[in-house]
Amino acid sequence: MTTTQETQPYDLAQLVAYHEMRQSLEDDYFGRWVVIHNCELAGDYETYDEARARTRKEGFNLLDCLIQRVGVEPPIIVSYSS
Amino acid sequence: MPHAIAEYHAPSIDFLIENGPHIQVLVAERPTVALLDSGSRLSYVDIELAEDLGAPETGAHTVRSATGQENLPSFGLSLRIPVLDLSLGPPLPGVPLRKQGHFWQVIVGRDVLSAYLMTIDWRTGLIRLS
Repeated sequence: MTTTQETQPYDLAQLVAYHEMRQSLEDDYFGRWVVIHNCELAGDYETYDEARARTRKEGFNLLDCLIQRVGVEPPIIVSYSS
Repeated sequence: MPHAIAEYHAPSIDFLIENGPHIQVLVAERPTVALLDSGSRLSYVDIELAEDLGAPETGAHTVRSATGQENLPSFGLSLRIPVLDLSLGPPLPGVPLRKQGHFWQVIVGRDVLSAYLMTIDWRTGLIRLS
């Protein structure tokens, strides 16, 4: 039996929305931390901590929204091992 | 050809190429998505997500990465992968993902992938585990 994934979780929808907005976000918010909620830009911030503070104030957890730094790759390619 | 256990498509081919292959998971029974990461030996959850979900810290684990070695918390959380009928943890090791700017907040690593043949058709976006 093959199992398929039919329903898209909420936060995959946020990731897809961010992906689709990526170019326009890079044009307007490069280097800033943005919050995506309900598949829309909900705010932009100088730091991750500012973005987190705002989402906490709104009562969101990290499954309710997406926080991303626009246009900046993570400092390292992580290869974790314990 | 091995029997497919799970077969699904990435949201788009462009999304797959840009961000990597995903799989739907449940963390603390909340639906979310994870990166299928053959570069990661273990499966991990974002530390701040675990904290948001109210998961207790149950210990620590040591992580080695390109920037060195550090001790990070493990959480009393379980990770369930419905399409594979598979559960991991508790505990689940935590790593800082979003705060470092990573796109994903859950990683499914080789501790899971080593039990499967994972194929990705980059032309169609089809992800298949068998």
